Amino acid sequence: MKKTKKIASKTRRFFAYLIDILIIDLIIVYPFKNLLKSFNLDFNFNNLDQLTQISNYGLLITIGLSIGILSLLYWTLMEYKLKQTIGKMIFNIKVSSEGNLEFWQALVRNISKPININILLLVDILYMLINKTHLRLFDKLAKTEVVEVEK
Amino acid sequence: MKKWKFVIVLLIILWLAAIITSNYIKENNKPSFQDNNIALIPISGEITSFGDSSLPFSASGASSEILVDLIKKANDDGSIKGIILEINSPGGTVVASKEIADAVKQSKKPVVAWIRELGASGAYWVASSSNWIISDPMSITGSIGVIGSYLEFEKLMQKYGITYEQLTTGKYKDTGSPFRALTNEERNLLQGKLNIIHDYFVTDVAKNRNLTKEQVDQLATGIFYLGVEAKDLGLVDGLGGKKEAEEKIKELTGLKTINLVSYQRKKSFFESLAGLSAYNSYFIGKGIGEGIIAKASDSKNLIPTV
Repeated sequence: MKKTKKIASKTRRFFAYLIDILIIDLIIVYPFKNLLKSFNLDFNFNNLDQLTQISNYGLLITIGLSIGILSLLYWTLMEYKLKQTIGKMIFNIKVSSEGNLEFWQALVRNISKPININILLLVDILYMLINKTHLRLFDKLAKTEVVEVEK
Repeated sequence: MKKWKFVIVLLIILWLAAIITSNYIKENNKPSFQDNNIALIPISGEITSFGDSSLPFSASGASSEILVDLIKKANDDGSIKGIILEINSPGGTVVASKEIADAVKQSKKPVVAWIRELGASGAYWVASSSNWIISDPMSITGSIGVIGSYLEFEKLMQKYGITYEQLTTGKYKDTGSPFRALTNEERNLLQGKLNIIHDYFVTDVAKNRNLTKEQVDQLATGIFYLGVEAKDLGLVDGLGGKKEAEEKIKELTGLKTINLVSYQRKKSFFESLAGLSAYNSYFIGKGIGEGIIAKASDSKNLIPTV
């Protein structure tokens, strides 16, 4: 008899995402914050005026892209290999797909995540909030879902 | 166990990749962030205290509040070694011009003023406070003098049978009202105040330029000078443009190479939006209505400009 997978709750997914963001901040973003400090720039919202005023756009874009690519690698490789990120492990949830989870599926389902606030992520989350299947838009595109780990 | 081994290896690889990438960026951004940055601060348009704030969300022109803040920031920024002021301004109000001139004088870092098209009156006052003035041979500069002017409608009102009644408690409270002509006494009084400003302006320019007050007094007729004339008269130090300004700041800072960093207030989203759509249509209405009638009825309109 085929077992029915229990879809993970939005709350668990949200807190798992927060844990992953914290880990990314510590492992990936921290060295870039040090880089900005070495340029006498501090990356926080109080300092946006200085950051944007002194023609730092090229630098900011390079840093943003680097953080984005490395973060995407974290989510994609973790889920491709283990079907879980550290956040998901803590909250006992995992990514599931019909067959084996392919690399492209792991990549597509995480493509909206690397930048914390962006239009893709907003659309992604909005889609999850308004549809009944609890799927993010990029989950649907990647043909994946997040389910609870069977004990 | 295998699972955690993978997690730890991946995290170490990502951490190393982040460190290597950030170091790479640091190395390759050296030209922008070495200790050879020079702040390029534009002073464009009429100088006022807050810029032209008549448009919602806007501040066009040269606001002394913003410029003083930028000069201070450039001084506080460890990566900035000197300042070039790119001047394109006909001058402005007395206090705003003086505020910027004072900030330039207080700068601990060398300041070169580069006059492009126009650096007259209050804008010249600012330039004179710098360590060195470069101007194009054909730039318009000088124009040391003070103006206090307003429209006066008394005869027009008489023609249409309109009378002006204003109750005041002080003898001179409605001095400068556009609805009546000045008396000789009032004219002398206002002229006296302009003379005080003029004297202050001349004294400060003389001090800034290491000239005698008498020398500057002779030049301070309000006439403008071309850059080439200003050089002969000692009002500017050198002729040229951006290249010459860069060479001079290199000399003053002792740097072999410099990296110009644009220091200016970034326009907010609303300002850009206002600038895109509303600017022209707004001023058609404003110019006809408020620009003439409302301002004319304001007796405090007589703000001297330099």
